[in-house]
This record gives sequence, C-alpha cells and structure tokens, in this order.
Amino acid sequence: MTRRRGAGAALVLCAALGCHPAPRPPVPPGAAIRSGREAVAALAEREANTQTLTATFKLTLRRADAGEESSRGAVVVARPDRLRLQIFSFGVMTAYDYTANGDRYRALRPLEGKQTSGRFGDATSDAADAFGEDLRPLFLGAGDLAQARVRDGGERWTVVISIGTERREIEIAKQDGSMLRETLYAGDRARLSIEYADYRAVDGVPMPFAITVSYPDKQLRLAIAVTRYTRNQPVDPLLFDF
Amino acid sequence: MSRRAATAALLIALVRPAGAGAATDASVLAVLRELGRESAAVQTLRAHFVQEKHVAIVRDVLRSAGTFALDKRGRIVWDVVEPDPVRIVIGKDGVFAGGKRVGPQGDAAAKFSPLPLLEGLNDVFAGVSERTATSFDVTLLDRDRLRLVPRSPRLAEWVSSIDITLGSAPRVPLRVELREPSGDRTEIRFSDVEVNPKLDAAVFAP
Repeated sequence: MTRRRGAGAALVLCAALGCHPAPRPPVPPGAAIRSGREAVAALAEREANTQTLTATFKLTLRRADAGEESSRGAVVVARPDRLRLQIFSFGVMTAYDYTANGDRYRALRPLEGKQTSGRFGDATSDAADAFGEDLRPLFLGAGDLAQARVRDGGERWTVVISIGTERREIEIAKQDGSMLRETLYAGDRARLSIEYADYRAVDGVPMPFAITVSYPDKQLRLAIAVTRYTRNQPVDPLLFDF
Repeated sequence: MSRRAATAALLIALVRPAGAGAATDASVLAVLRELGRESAAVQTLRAHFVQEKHVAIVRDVLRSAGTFALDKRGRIVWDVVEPDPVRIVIGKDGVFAGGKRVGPQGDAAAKFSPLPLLEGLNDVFAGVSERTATSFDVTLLDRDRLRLVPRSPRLAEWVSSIDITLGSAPRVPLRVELREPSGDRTEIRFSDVEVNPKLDAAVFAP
C-alpha cells in the first residue's frame, strides 16, 4: 500500500468505524423509526451510549485496475476527544500508528522512520502527515445534531449535518433503524461514501461487521471486515499520550 | 591504567568482533560464537509457523499460520494459509506480497524502504552468531533464550526487543517474540523444523 493510499485507507476506516458505533437506539434494536425526529434522536443516543469503542479488522483495498491489497488493523476511540488507529503490514509490522488527543495529533510510520505531530488547525502543522484530515469529527461525533435536517427518502430517513464547508448525509432505514449509508460532501461533490451491512448484536446492540467505503473521485473501494468490537470497556488513558 | 585492567581491556578487545558494540560482554560473545558454529551448518530452513500479534490498544490477538522457508543467502518466504492465504517473499529484490512488490518504489524506496529492517530480521530467523552482536545488544536470558535489543535507532523505532528461544538440536530459533515500542508483542512459534531442505528458486518466487 502506498503512503497516500495507506493514508486514505486510514481516513475512510476512521470514518467507517469511528463515527457510527451503532450504540443503543432510542427504540429497541430492529424497531421502526417513525419520524425524522426519532432518526436524529437515534444518532444522538448512539454517541451518548458509546463512550469507548475498540475494533479489530481486515481491510482490503480494491483499485480500478483490479489491484487488491489487504492489511489488518485496530482502532480505539474514547469520547469525547481521543482516538488511536493502527494498521499492520504483513500481519506483524505497525505501518501506521495515529493518535489524536484533544486538539493534538501524532502520526507514526515506523517502517519509514517518520513521525509527525502538531495541533489541528495549526498552520505550521503538516496536515498531509495527519492523513490530510482532521479525523476527530469522523471518529468522535456526528457533528451538531441540534442543527441537523432530515429528509424523507421513502424507505429511509436522511439526516443532513453541516460541518464547516462540508456536509454529511446519514441514511437510516425506517424499517429497523439500521444505518445504511453515509456520504460526505465537499460542496456538491461526494468525496466519500460508506455503506454498512452485516449487522450483528454486540452487547445487545447491532453493529456493522461489513463496511464498504468508496472514493468516487479516485475509483478506490475499501472493504472492511470487522472481526471484533468492544463497547464501553475501560481504556488506558496512556494509550493516547504522546 | 593498572596492569590487570590493561590485560582485561586487551582480552575484551581480542574477543570482540569487528563492529560489535562496546557493551557486549565477553561471555556473551563466547556463547554467540559457539551458537554461530552450531548454526553455520544450517543453510536452509523450512517449518510451520504460528504467529500471534498481541495488539495492545485493543487487547486483542491477531493470529496467522502457515509455512516458512529461509535461505541464508538472503531469501525468506512466509506462506500464510490462515486466516487469509497470502505469500510474502523477502529478498534482495524487495518485498513481495501476493505476487506484487510492496512498499515504496523508485527513489522513495531507498529512502523509506523497510527492506533493511526485514533483512535484519532474516538474519535473526537464520540463527544467532557473533555477528548478531554487531546489530544488537545481546543478553542471555538462560541456556536457550536470548534477548536482542537493536543498536540501530532506526530499527529501534519499530522493534524494541527480540527474544529468541533456540532448539536443542539444531540450534535454530523455535520461538521469536518481537516487542514494539507501541506495546504490541508478536510471538512466532516454529514447528516441524526441517534443516537444510532442498529449496529451489521456485520456493522463493514472488
């Protein structure tokens, strides 16, 4: 995996695993979501009910040329403002080790002998080495749900959240409340699309074990197969120190 | 300097291999020399392996297993059969996974390639000798176990220590444990070890 593709993989993985831990909805799992208000409430409860989340996974990057690369990885999220993501090459080597703690980040690439750190939004920081993005909104919260708008899309509700110059659209099945898809827009351009499937109960809460992430512009597709989740387990705060 | 101290210094200088770190104890070097003699006859190896990476941040274990083959001339192959089949070949030509070269290409390869690190590990899997002390600070944990701590800051960024458990005969690694600065730990156990099997070029084909 090239550096850029690795960074991209990390970004979409963050988006896929971090922002939708799918905790307890306001109605029992599998129950219908009857209104736009319930859809927003479901999103808010998901975040409130999952303070920590860990996942291990296999990710497979598929390119337009039919090339395919696989890696394994792990992520831990501690709301409101801490996360750590690792991606392993050859099943052993830590190729990426990314930490965000408050407004600071650090990105390690041990195999390349590289380390960068800084503050989000600091002009002197090398944003490209922080995966080119501030990952906190993706990992740690859906955004300002108080300002969310909801569209009725037939069999699904679409919750629209504005984040700076971008907007996030989250599609929720009316039938059972499951998260179906999320799309991130920069202006009118969809830059990231994430689909969720294979929901299984984790501590009684449905969690997506199959996640497909697409970059419409880059003709890249990332298939994430989650092998294990934990929710609300104690997390060592030292994991986020740097 | 007293005569005794001068004699001791001379003895240490004589037993220290060229390039070895100054801190390597003479008794350790003697053991490494003996182990090196025993492993010198090993040119190729083939074995089954089970690898468990203990991921500290999620307190989970990533397990894989398959077959491993090594040629001391600088080639190594890991044929992973579970959980997902993949073939990883490491040699002078680079690192290949699933038949494709991986890692940085072109000019970037010289700057960022993990190949030197992987080649260093190839040496470890081939056994230990006096030469091991040139790259690692070596501690004898007991008769069959050694701890290697990288001397190179570059390698130390990835691996903080390597514990090796040697078999009784032949004296080749049966268990290797890599500890990373992140707190992760990877244990590789070898079984059904074949010494000097005939390994043709096809075995190491990407």
